[in-house]
Amino acid sequence: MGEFTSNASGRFYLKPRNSTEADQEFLVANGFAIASDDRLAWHSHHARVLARLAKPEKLDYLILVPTLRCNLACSYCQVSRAPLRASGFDWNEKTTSAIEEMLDGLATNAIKIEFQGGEPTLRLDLVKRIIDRCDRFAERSFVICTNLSEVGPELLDLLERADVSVSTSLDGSSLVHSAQRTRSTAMTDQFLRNLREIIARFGPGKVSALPTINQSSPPPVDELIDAFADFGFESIHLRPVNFQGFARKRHPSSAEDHRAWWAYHEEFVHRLIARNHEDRSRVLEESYFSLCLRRMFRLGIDRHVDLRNPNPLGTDYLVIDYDGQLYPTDEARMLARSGIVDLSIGTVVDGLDVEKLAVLNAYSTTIGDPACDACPYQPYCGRDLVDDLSRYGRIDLPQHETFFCQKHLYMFDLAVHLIYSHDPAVRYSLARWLGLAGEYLPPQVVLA
Amino acid sequence: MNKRTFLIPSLLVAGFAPPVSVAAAEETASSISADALATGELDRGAVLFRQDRPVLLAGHSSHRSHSSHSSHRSSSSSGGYYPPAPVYSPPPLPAPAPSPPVQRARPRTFGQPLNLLGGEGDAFTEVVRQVQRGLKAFGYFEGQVTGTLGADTKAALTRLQTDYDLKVTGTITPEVLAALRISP
Amino acid sequence: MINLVLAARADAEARYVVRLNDRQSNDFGANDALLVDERPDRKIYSSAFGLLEIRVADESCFDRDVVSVDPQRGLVERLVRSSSPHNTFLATERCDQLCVMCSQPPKKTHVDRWAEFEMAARLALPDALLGISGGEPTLFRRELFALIEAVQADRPDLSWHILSNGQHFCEDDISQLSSEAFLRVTWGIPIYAAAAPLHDEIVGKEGAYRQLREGLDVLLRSGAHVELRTVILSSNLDHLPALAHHAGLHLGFCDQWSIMQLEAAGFAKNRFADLFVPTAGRFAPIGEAIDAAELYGLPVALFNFPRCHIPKNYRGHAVASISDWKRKFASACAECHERSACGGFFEWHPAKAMGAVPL
Repeated sequence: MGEFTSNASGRFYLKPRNSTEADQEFLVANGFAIASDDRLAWHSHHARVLARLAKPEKLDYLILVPTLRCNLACSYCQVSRAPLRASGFDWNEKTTSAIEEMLDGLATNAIKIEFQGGEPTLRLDLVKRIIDRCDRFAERSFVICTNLSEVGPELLDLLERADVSVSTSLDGSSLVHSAQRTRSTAMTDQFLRNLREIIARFGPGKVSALPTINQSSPPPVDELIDAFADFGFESIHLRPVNFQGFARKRHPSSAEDHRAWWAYHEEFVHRLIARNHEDRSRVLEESYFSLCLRRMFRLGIDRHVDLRNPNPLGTDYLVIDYDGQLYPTDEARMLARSGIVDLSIGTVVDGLDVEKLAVLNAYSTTIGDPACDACPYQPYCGRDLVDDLSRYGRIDLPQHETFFCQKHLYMFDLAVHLIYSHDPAVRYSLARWLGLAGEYLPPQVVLA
Repeated sequence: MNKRTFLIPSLLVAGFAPPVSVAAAEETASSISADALATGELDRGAVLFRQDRPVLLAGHSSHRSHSSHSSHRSSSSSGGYYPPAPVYSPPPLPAPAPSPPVQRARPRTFGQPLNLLGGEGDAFTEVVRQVQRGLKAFGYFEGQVTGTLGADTKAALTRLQTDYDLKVTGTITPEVLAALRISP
Repeated sequence: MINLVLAARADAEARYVVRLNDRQSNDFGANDALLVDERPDRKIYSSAFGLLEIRVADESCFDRDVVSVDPQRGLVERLVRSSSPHNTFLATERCDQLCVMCSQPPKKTHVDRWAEFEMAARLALPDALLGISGGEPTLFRRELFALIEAVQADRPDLSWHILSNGQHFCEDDISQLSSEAFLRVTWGIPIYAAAAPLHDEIVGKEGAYRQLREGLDVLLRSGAHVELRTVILSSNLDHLPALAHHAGLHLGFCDQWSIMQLEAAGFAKNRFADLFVPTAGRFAPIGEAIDAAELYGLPVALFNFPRCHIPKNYRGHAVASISDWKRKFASACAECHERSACGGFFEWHPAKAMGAVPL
């Protein structure tokens, strides 16, 4: 037949051995080839390539850790918590005022703040101070990441605000949730009661939940989906536990290590597809897969800080820890706390460490990486320096040996298989995940 | 924090290049993208395709749909930021510019202004009459109160405007009406 | 229907442009007229140009409207209605195309009204959106550009929508088109097919498609905002998915693709039976086109479609677009629950081709 190849914007094509005029017409019509005198096609192609680049500018997304203390001790939470009654693990007054001043100086009209922990509801007073300080922003969104083990009137009051929502962990069935998180049926029951109460009072839109999956013994797929669907949650982000500490895996993981996980994920996506097709009353999605899918067709889907290119650190989002230290990502905070590498990029009192950021950001792109430049998925993919550091202690492994690369190769491969599937159930779900009005994904689409 | 020791003692060990000046680092980053992305065809690089303008179509300004405008990450609030897939609602969309109507009116007649309005209660003439009376009362007009704006009325208006330091137009302006106390 | 041209009487000699005010305001200037007398059927204004009497029909609020007064013909034309988002200047009636369905058939004569338009724009309400159409406005490209530049220098709050066949831009325009003055200009550019023969046939001009692509190239390189517009005809309905595929892949820099139902005006009036496709039962190619374009992130809007002619899933793309002054509803629409969200029909839409179904 010929060989597969791709052009600079990542369009795939099969290069015919003996191309005929009809072949060429096809190639031109579908954007794989450009007639030499077609200036519009040339320029629109270049515009597309440029538009694929993320251009984060203003800092408008903060992850704040008002306290590191927590009222749970989850099995996989090694470093991001302190005991409930410990002292010195909350923002002090100096840190809190410095954050307030920083908020006053932000050059944005829209702010998104995520309160992480620890358990941030232990310090709702600090949470409220920050929220009150944000009145000046035209658009505000606050997410309180809480384990919902205790829900008091103060939190319920706060949730009356349209701009405040909660994010929680729901690991699956009651049994799994108890095993991984609460370690007690009674506490799990209390969590479930609290979750139900909030949903009954504010609707499922007020809460987002995500599971943390133990990669070595994931729950049965339908059991997990049911656990979410029963609450009215339609978007599920399948997230394996990321065991911190590259020391466990000093050697680059081979593909085999994660094959079971990819298989589980694929089964999960296929079950979502089948269930969506059977029950049209709602649409379930695996949200990270949906993100990958959207990036394959569309430009400008680059505010998702886990998947974009370039992915400069310390630019449009920032983590402020309980002690006022600044980190580029929450994972970077964990790495520092577990003593692996110091990725702190300054303090909220003294400001950003610009030189350190420059060093980090010189590598925050896939462009110029020989493996990435040869990859047809490059236009949709991204870069995650912190993940590389966390797993391998280095950022200079050949990309295709990294978990990040293998995960996305798997994701995009799955997407390509599904995009070219003739199964109506598949095309139905893809159309929903891509937000199309029509019942099915149009046939014979081209990856642009 | 700084006194702690880390398994990876420095970024250098992790494969990052030694610290360079910020300016140099930025330069490197920009030259990479410039080389890789802007071909010789593009004389002005990214500036060519700026998309930062407000989209302005009739009646509304809309942003490109589909692109999410606030930042997100996977490890929290996963459901919060994609609109659940099926409920895509497009931004308020504009109306197209209408093709304008040109309703060709009555047959054209040149010369004197037409009294198309006609009928009783000729308000136009009445206002002119009031002005003429006012001009008379103020001592600027000695002709007949006709309701027609003749040369003598215009001359009177000009004199009044000049004396009262108004804008001189020779017409019945709001200022004239105010000066003559005929204002609404 | 709202009349945009009204009978009037004025004592001036020459044409002039004024803004009508019900009361004095802080920004009352040389081109402002004040309401001084009001009867059930007429209003009298006074301005530096003298008295102006306007015949009032049923709708009678003119406050902050900008009108052009033609004393010789005894008319005022309402150039900018403050209450309407649909204000458009007719730049010229000349055109270099002869589209089969043209709602505004071209004329050879040209009346130069650029100065009037400039004055009217300067007097428009803050943040107003003004339209310019024709004919083909870019036949007078220099005057058009000069208008935008002159007005935007003083009124950077205004924005513009200019309807053009996109065939008269050249390389040298890029520096101007990408300048500050054009930041708030959106070009509405018709494209009827992604194939030269069909597009050229519809617009009645050989080579039009090739020139259109050159024009789009200039707009792309100027960073201009572009709205693509396609009127549905019996000849291009089935081609729509192909056009969508092309637009999604190659014209993704455009801000929106507007798909429009035919207006029974101008040339289309007599050819309506041949050109018009009732989409109530033939929506499939349009739906396919919408999905194909949206897939690549090119937003699609449907104009001039009554909501009951669109399958439910696609109604979110419909815009209640028909300008208030030329809109009507069928008698069946009285009981429709979606009437307030619906654009209805053109005033001149043939009654027997309405086929409205209350929702």
